[in-house]
Amino acid sequence: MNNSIIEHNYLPLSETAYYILLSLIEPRHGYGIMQHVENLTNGRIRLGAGTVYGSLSRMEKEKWILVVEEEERRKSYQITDIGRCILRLEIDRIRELYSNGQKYEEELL
Amino acid sequence: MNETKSLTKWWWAWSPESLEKWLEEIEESGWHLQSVAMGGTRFRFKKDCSRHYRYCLDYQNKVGSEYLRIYEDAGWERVYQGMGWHIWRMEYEGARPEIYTDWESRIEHNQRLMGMLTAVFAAQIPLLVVNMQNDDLSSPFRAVLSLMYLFLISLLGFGVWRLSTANKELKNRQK
Repeated sequence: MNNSIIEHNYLPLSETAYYILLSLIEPRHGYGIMQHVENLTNGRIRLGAGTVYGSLSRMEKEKWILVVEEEERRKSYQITDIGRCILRLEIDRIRELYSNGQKYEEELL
Repeated sequence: MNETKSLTKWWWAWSPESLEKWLEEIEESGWHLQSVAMGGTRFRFKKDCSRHYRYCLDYQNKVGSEYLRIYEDAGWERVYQGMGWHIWRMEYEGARPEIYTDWESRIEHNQRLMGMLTAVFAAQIPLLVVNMQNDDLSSPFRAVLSLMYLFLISLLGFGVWRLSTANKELKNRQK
């Protein structure tokens, strides 16, 4: 898929979507994602069960992630190539915001 | 001491918070929810100690196998399931637990609810029309029936409007 099409339709990602995609670079199940994101953000972001369940269903439908394992009614997901592409573009976008912000950081102190 | 009581609580689909709050206050006052019946309107409690519980109503169209797992892993316990509604609860200290933590998923939840209400709403219209054209029924009876349908349709329309307004609020605040 074309990068500019992705940027136009899907970016910017919400913090929830960003962190879920990031967590799924490794295979994880729903609750595993919740724990991982809480760790990564030092407790700042605690995803709700409904939010995660809904996001995973949607992302699977959009083919950003796929099911890699299913055991004891727990589905483990992992990011797909499309998902990786979206994440890379989003990180680029954030990097641009951040580096421009840094240039003016001193004046903001 | 095995004191129990059964209470009926009527709640509207477009404001499940009223049921959540009611259940939480009852738990706080020292009555534990044992079971739910009658499509989620009749509740049986047992006298015990005061508990600090969060109750959350979740409306879903059709849930996959992992729905239960994700919520249970996160610490939720389901006390009722019926007609698309799931009543979850969790004991807690400190921050109040939520099943939806971002505005996007709350909007989606409201949209699911609106979809259901609209479907029920739409199903009433042909019934109303057929009834109004039915010459077999006596006039006053037909009028009463038509009024009942109109009332039901208005109620459902109000519910959809309420949810739509709530979604607009969420979209504006984006929190």
